[in-house]
Amino acid sequence: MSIIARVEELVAVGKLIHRPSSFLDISARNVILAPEIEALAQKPFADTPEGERHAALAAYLDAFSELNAITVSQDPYNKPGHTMLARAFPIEDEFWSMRITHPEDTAGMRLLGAFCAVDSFVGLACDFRENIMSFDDEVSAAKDRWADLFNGITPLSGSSLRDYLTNFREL
Amino acid sequence: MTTLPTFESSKKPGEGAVSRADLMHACMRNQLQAHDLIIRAVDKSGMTQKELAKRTGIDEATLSRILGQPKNLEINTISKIVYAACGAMLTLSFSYPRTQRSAVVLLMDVQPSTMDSTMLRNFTYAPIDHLSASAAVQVSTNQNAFEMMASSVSSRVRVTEVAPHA
Repeated sequence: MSIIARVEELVAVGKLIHRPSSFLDISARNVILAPEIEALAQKPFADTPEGERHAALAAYLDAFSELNAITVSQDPYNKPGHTMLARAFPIEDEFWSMRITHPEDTAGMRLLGAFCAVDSFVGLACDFRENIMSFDDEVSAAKDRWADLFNGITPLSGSSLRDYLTNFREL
Repeated sequence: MTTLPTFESSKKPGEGAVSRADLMHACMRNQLQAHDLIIRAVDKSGMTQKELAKRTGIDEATLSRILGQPKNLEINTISKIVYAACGAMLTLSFSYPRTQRSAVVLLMDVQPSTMDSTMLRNFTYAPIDHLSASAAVQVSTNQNAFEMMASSVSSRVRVTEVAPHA
């Protein structure tokens, strides 16, 4: 079974949710999320500091869906602090961290997942950055979730960034 | 009864101040749109950061940070970069979420002399039941992305390309 066919199956049974831009209702890129993560990025947001951070997550996901330019770093241990998408270690496992670095007075959030096709990101683990005591453990959680859902199908693997997404700027 | 559009809010009308989270969402969206616009302008120009820094008077380190992530930029900073990169002006417009009347983002008004086949293309985007309220939307630089957008929008929405300046 292809990875896309499996994603479609998982979306059909509600184990994953396809999230278009909440603003334009388009998916020029695809964001596919675990249900509990999708719920975080849904209005209404709580009128609290946590709600503000969820609102920032929603804005980032909207930007991804609308094909906004994304800054990307491929070296998990040598990347600018502000890069928007970075590979997670180990690289060969093909997991990535979507880095929500706003609001600026917070540590932001991290959404971990993998690509299932070009411009199609599956987000499987998400938390406030300060709650992630071990980043490796968080990546492992995302990998375990992937393994549970995808029955041996591995994430998209490519030889260059163009194999993963369009309209990016490598940092 | 007002005919003015309202936006989807986490607080009901009349509940006082707009929620801080909604304000954050609006601010972040605009920062991300501005960041995207700047990167497109710079990429289109083919200029190096050093060249662009010289043209704008913005130091290279600052320019690098601006290109690196969405930030709360001054209008003047965005204007300098976009104009120096590709001779474009900014157009600012209102926009509303999909549940309301229309959607707009920052647009570049590209001078005819600088147009080419990969320039940003402008479209109107409006719910079918509010055609008169259509508004411009900046989409991508290529036909494939536009077709993807056109096919994925709700059937309640009309997307029409706007002819470039004569």
